Amino acid sequence: MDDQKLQELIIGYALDILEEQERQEADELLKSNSAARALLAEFEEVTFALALSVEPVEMPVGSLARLRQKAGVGGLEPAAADELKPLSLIAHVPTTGIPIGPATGTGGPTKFNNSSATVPVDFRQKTRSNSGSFGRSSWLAYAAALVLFLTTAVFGILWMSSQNELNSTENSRRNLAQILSSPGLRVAELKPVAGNAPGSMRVYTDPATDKAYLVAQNLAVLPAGKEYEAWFVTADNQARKAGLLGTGDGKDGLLVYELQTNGQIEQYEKVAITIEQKGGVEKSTQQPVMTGNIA
Amino acid sequence: MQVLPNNGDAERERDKSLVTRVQNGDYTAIEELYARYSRQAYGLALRILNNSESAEDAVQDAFLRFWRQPGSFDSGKGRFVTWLLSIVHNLCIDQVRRKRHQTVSMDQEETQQQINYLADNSTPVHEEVWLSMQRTVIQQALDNLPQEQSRMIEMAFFKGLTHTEIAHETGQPLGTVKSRIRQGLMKLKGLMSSLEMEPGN
Repeated sequence: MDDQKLQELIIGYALDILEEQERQEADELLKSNSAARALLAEFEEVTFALALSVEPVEMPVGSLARLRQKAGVGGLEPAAADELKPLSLIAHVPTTGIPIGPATGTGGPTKFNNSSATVPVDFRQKTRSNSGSFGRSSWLAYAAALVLFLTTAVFGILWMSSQNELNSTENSRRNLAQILSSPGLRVAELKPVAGNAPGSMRVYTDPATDKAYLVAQNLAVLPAGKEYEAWFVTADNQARKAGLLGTGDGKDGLLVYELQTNGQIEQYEKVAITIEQKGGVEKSTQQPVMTGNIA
Repeated sequence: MQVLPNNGDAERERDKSLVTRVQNGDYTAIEELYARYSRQAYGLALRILNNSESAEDAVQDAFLRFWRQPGSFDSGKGRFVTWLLSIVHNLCIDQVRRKRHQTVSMDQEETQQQINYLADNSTPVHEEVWLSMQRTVIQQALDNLPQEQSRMIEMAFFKGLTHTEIAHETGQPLGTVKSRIRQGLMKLKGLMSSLEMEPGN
């Protein structure tokens, strides 16, 4: 059987679109031919990818309760039954200094010094209708309301910032996906210069669009005051700043960074990663920890 | 060959732990797996069946199959989500093929409205970043296939049409259908393998 016929048969098997006779032929082949089985495994990955290409959709309300009913298990309230635990967050890393989550040191609830109140409090008035009275309890109530408002505002702003940061990461992923199909795509697999790699990294560049993305995984957490920095290196060994990658978070999700090419992607031959002072440097002060040739 | 970026050792270990718990009779582990993967499975089922009730049934049947026959999945042979989506796909295609010869009136507009209502258009905080990125890459790869190839792959994978049925529907020779599907999947395989990552290199 020639390669093309084998591929057609195995692909048809993986997609489950063979006629009965062909399916039997494929079954027999798979029993005896390890190459066919290996090919099937590869195309089952592709069919899995096709399944993943569909956007996820929330299950209808009450689905968990119906699942329990079908499974023959019970004992939980319907409200609790519909509380699906969220999926775990894999990774999200800012490429700039925008923090995600409550910033530290930016203040907390504003405290009011009640001793500064100048209006004497008449406790007798508290037992009558409060029209016209403005006692200590009213000050406390207003103070509590103001604290609540400020806290909500602060967290609201920080949440919006975090959403913008997540959206930024999502944009990087989308843009990366676009260049992955580019016919001129070049890929650099970064390898450690010495010792163990601080993570795995790969750089994708597209000369047609002058775009470059670095995808990192398992980035080791750096000591305080340090940060990963990326550099493009020219043929004559000149290093150009490509961007900061943060301090590593030890998580094993994919992190995607858009690198700065300065419109000159064609002249770069290598990508290098150094560990610099937090905030980056204009000229690298350290030997690279990882490098890769842009293919 | 690893076609797409793996979703992290921690996530795989977590899935393995949940699978083991199910196999030891712990129903709550099924619900944790349901929380993790039912949305993706439901999206797939809805795409194929175009009916929310049938799609929910297909997804639940897949999970219940694992609950009732825990030995049907072996962690050593692959990821749970791969197995799950394969089962859901098979259940849905079987249903489509059974119904193909029946006259069924499907209210596609209502279904689309349900999809619009149910689909989460925002970027959910808890969404698995891995699956999201994989989906983006795959969709881009599909968009870059020649139209005839992607159309035939769509007919095969999402409508369960055989080679012969696709040839009949498109008016193309059988050999052309087989060849285009082969070329399309080979191209998809090539595009996706460019994301192959080996941790710790």
